[in-house]
Amino acid sequence: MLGIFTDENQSLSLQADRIYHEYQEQSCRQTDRMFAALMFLQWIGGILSATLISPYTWIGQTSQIHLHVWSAVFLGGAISIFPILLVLARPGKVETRYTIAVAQMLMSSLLIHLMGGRIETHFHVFGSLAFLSFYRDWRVLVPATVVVAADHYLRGAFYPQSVFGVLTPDSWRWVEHAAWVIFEDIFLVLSCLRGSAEMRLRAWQVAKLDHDFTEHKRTQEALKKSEEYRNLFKHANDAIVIFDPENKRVLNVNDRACEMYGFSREDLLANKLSLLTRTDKRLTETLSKGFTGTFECVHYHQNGEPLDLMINASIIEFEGKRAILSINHNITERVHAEKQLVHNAFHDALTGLPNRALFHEHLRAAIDRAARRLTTFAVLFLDFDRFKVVNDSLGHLEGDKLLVQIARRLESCLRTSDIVARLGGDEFTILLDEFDDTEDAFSIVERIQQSLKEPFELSGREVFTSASIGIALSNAAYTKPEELLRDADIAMYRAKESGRARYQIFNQAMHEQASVRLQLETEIRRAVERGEFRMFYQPIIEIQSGKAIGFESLVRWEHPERGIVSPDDFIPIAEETGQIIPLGEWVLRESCRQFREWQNEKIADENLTISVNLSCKQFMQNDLVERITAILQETQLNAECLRLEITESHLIEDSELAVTIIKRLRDIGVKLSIDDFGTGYSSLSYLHRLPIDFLKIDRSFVSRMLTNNENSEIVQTVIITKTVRSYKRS
Amino acid sequence: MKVILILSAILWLIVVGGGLHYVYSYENKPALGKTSPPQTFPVESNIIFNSRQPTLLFFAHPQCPCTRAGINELARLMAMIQGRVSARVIFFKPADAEQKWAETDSWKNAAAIPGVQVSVDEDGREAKRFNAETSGTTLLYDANGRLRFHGGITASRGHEGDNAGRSAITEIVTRDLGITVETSAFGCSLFDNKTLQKVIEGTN
Repeated sequence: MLGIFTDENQSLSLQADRIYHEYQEQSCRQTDRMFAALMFLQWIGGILSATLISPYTWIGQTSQIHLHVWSAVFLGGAISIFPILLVLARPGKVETRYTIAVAQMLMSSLLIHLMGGRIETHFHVFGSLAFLSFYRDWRVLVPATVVVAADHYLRGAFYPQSVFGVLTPDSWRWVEHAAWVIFEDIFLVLSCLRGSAEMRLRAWQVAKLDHDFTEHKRTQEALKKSEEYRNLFKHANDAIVIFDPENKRVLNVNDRACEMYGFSREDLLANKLSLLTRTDKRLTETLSKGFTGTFECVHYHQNGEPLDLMINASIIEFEGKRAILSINHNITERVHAEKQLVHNAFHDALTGLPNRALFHEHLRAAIDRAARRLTTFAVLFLDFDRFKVVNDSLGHLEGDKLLVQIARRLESCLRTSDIVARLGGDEFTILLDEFDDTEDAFSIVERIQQSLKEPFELSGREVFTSASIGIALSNAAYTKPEELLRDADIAMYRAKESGRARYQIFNQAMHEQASVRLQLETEIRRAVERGEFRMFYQPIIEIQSGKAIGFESLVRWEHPERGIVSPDDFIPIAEETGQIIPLGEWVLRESCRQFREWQNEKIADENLTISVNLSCKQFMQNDLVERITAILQETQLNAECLRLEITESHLIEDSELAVTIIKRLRDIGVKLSIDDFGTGYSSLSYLHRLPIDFLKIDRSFVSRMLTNNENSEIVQTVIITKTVRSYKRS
Repeated sequence: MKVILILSAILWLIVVGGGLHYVYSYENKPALGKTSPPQTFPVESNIIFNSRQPTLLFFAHPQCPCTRAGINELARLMAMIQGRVSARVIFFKPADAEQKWAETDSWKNAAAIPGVQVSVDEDGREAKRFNAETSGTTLLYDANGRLRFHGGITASRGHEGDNAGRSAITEIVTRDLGITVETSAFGCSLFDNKTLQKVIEGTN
């Protein structure tokens, strides 16, 4: 208490001292300014006095300006200017007032002498000293007195009469002069000390007042802050719990805490923290280690619901005791959202099934398990037949509904240990984990296929679908999920190729075939550039006359390593990869060129035609007619000599467009023929609509027609239909 | 900054001290008379000599500002020895100047001193007779016409106050010391070359 009191007094004393010095400096600044003005006025006064009293000095009849006038101007100016400059540059400083004291006494001396040195004028000295006491700094009187004493002493030494004024000078009379000044100084010093003491007292009073005011203000602010804290505690959006770190007893809670935990204030205050934390001891353990800060924790609502909380704990003093202030921010929704985000990252949003990433994780875990436990698992790759038809005909919304129903149906067919995932589109994968016998896997596959045979109901319609399933069985060679998925995918394609609603188990041959296919894909691209394709021409013989009526161009790939590759091996690949466009154009150009060359060499008659197969992609090109026209012009072949052959299935896909294109081709003179008619399930009425010139009935009809009468009626009907059509057109 | 301030203060003190010293030197520098005044009252003077009491002559330049202090000192002196001396203030006036040139404040002050007669000295002829070349030169002849004092009655140029001249005259008049006392005179010069030439020519 005494220490506080002493500190307070010391602070007050320092404050008073500071204020006193401020006052003194302010007073000195004012006095400085006053003296600067006085200096200037004295200078002007000196000039006026000298001019009035002794303007001229005379030599007989002639006069000249008196030295007093010059000295008033220049010497008076020299005395005044330095202190005036100091007042402007360094007001309130000690050196300024000391210089002013010296200058003022020198100015007194000059003025006294300019005015004839009369005794009355010496009062200027006393007046000057009195003015200097305005500084309330007795020390200023010291240099002033020294200047007076020195002035009199020196003049007494050099010009005794001017000071002593008698024939027999008393060399100590200057002391008498100085003594009068010192006599006045005594009064002035006392006055200065009194003034200074009063100023110091006033400074103390002001400091005290200021101190009291500050204290009052501080108290007011403390009260205000206390009130603010109370309001903050009461109305905080977070639950605030204060508890004893030793016995964990709850000491205080705010309203929000009661609301968040569902307990009354009385219940909380009567219990320990464990009422809220239950089995979760993280908070108490963390605090027992002396940790304070921010951490996440789970508390429980009265109804048992867990509350995810972000807790900010700190040590405070509560009612004179050490306590823990725990500010609990409810982050349950945020945690739930985070969990949802994580779930979304690993699950398909439409079906809720695991997505590719999560399936990979499960697969990786299955691979590890299989390696450790020597167990077997299988990966099923499912692609749904006719899904595109459903999607295109009923819309994507219905397509999505179908996918959801498929997902649920697949889940119903699996064991709890199995995982079904949707990779995207209509591709599903299934992990059949840990089975003892391969037959178990096959039975699940069959169960799936059986289940999928049941119709799906989409907006009141029954829709049927089936799945092509590729199966990859685990073995020690598989180390990565991608490898299993790749092989299941290959097997699935093989199943799809073999017909609908089939399944295929992957074997090494499939992999090799797939590899060959991939190799071919790459090589086809280069083959066009390298000119590895060769054209062969097969004559078309009219049965009745036995004469050639044209040629059909056939392309073969003369592979540098594999030899002649069959079009059945590379055309489908070229179709898939889009290489069929440049290849087909090359074939067309080469056929036209060759045929024109034969015509020029008279090998081929002008009435003969050259037949060239046109792929579906070629046929659907927007600028097909322009391209063909350009090739005909380039090779100078008559358009009527060119016969383009299109497969029936191409025409069925977009019959309207096909008819349009065929008409445009016919307009430029090109003849058109349908190849392998009868394989595309097209009806005879459809055939009736097509403006074609020739039909090539598929060999499956023709070959058996000759050996027995089977199909002969169909062939005859087709020929009749087409003949009638041709007749009508003509 | 502090060094500059100290050097400036020193320079300032030197300049101001030097200036004051020069002013004080000027004020305390006496006019040097080339010749001493006649030891006996010259008979050719037009100034009436009083054989019953000492005669006090004060030569003054009416325009000289320093002489005002001498006149005031004369007034103080006369206050002490009034009736014991025949005192006369002789004001220099060029012959071609009007009377007003001489009738200045100094003239009026001198004329106002009890027991003092004031007269004009045309072209300074009387001053020349008494070898008084400086305004403020004071001469005291005793009743026998012997010179008892010559010099000034101010301590310095234009400064009133106790001075050796006034003290000496008071002593001589009151106690007849029997010696001749000399002090320095401070004031304007009574003659310029032109006036001096005219006086010499007039005297011849």
